[in-house]
Amino acid sequence: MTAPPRKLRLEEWDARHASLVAGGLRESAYGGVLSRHVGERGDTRLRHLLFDNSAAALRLWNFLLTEEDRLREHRAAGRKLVGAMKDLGTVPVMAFALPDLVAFYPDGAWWTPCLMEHSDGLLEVADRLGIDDSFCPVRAMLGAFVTGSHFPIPDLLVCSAGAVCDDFSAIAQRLEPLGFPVFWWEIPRRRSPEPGESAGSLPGGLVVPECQIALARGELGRVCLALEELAGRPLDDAAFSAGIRAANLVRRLLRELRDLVFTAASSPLPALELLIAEMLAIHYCSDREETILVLEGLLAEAQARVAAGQGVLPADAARVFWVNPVADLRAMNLLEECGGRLCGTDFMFGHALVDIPEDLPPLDALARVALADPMIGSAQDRARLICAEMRRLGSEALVVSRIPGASHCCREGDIIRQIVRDNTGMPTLEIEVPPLGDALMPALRSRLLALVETVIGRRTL
Amino acid sequence: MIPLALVGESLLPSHFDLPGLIEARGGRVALDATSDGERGQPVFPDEARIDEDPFAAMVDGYFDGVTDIFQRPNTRLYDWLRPRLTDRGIRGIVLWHYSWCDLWRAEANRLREEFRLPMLHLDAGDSLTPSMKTRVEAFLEILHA
Repeated sequence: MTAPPRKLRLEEWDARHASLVAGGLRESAYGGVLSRHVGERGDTRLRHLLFDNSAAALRLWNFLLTEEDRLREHRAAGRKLVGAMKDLGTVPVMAFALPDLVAFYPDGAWWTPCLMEHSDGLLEVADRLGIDDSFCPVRAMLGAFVTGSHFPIPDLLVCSAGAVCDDFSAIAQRLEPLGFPVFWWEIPRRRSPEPGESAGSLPGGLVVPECQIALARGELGRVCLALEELAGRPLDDAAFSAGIRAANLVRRLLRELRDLVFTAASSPLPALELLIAEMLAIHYCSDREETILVLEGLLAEAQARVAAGQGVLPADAARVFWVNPVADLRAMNLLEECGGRLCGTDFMFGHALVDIPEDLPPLDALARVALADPMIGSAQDRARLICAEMRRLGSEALVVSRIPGASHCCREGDIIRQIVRDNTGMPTLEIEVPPLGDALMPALRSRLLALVETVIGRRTL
Repeated sequence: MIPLALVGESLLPSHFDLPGLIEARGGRVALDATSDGERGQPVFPDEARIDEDPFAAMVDGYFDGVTDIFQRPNTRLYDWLRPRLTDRGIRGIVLWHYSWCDLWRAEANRLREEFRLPMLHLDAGDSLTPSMKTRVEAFLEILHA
């Protein structure tokens, strides 16, 4: 810890960076002042965000915002790029277990319209291809493929089908006739075993029929063959297991960081940085070893702040469990400006945060984790997991943040909120956050303020 | 009568007048490629297999014989449509889907690109609305011209 924690505007970060460097800060090759991303990449949204002032957070942001460079460097170095789509955390575990393969999520382009405040034109490209704003903002991915101006086009595209969002599946399918072939694999909709049906357990405690595990194992086996073909070598169990152990290290670091941020008397890290940190779990931002270092840095910073009794937010901030990632990163700042703090999250990839079993054959272990995906089961299942986490963490309220046009969002909010209300008695709120939410911010602010007020009021009852 | 293909989701009972409406305006549904039409019917090409292993024949008939928009990749749908559109001399496509049905909506442009036929894109509500009727009328008028 190098300074008392506080939040900085982008322009304040330049001076802070100079002071850190003068104090001996050693940065990675991708380091530097944050403000350069506005000029070099057009990430103008950064000018409207508040950032944590730690060197660890600086490293996190620089790591995130340089991913496209990193992918191009991987390609230049002869590594093959795998574009994993939709599964959020499963295929990259296999890809990174093979030398010279690097996986990333083209889905991540959904934040580009936010970061570039629509100057990227990606959504307009999607519009022209018939994918209008009735679809999830992940349609920006389509524009990124067609323009080729963001991430490099992957050597292999892999996308899960079956129990996935219709809109995402439709967008990914739209890629094929445009000249981007997709390797499809199927993930079944998770169900409970019938009476007497052979069953198996998943990380996180869910139980499913063995036949679903076998199906997922078989499908991931097909993906594995495609990855092996791309890599030009087989993936043996030893390398696969090593990949799983490395994934688990990332997951454990992240779990420790989350628990600290959610349960400390005063939150040692802002919501925005936590959201970004969680995203590292799904594909390591294209560099697994660096992800580990970035997370270790954040965890050390958070631990130091907690040990010093310091935090970035008042201790009485309302403890909010947040469901779904936000299309506009500014919304995470807004929660805190309204007197809230994160106390639990379900950003749609809980399965990327649990340990992958290390005592099972690797493919079997990965299949079980894939089946633990909160988005492939019922909203009721997801809500029950949320209730359990809210109790464990001491959350005081729930926010379901809808993603405009996302097919899973039209009904899940009501279901999750009802179950959370019935089971915990906590106040709940549903909001919708578009990629650029400036016009809605006053209304969102009022709604979040009302929630925080309700939480504070309940404390005295 | 101008031969049209009706492609998309099932019609609700309140939409059953759509083929009649098309006929009244000088068209006819020469290919019913809705989910309840011929596209949704299982195919049993091997009669002998039905006797040998009826369960497997049924699985094959439904899984391999029925084509739909959700299949990945959905090339089977296009492979199914292509010869039928040609063989039946189809001159226009009526794409029928429901609000928020992303799977069909996302394919509208591709259907146009792939088959290069005039297309009427109908976003179905609870019933056939006057505006829908006018659009069908205008579509057929254009095709007649």
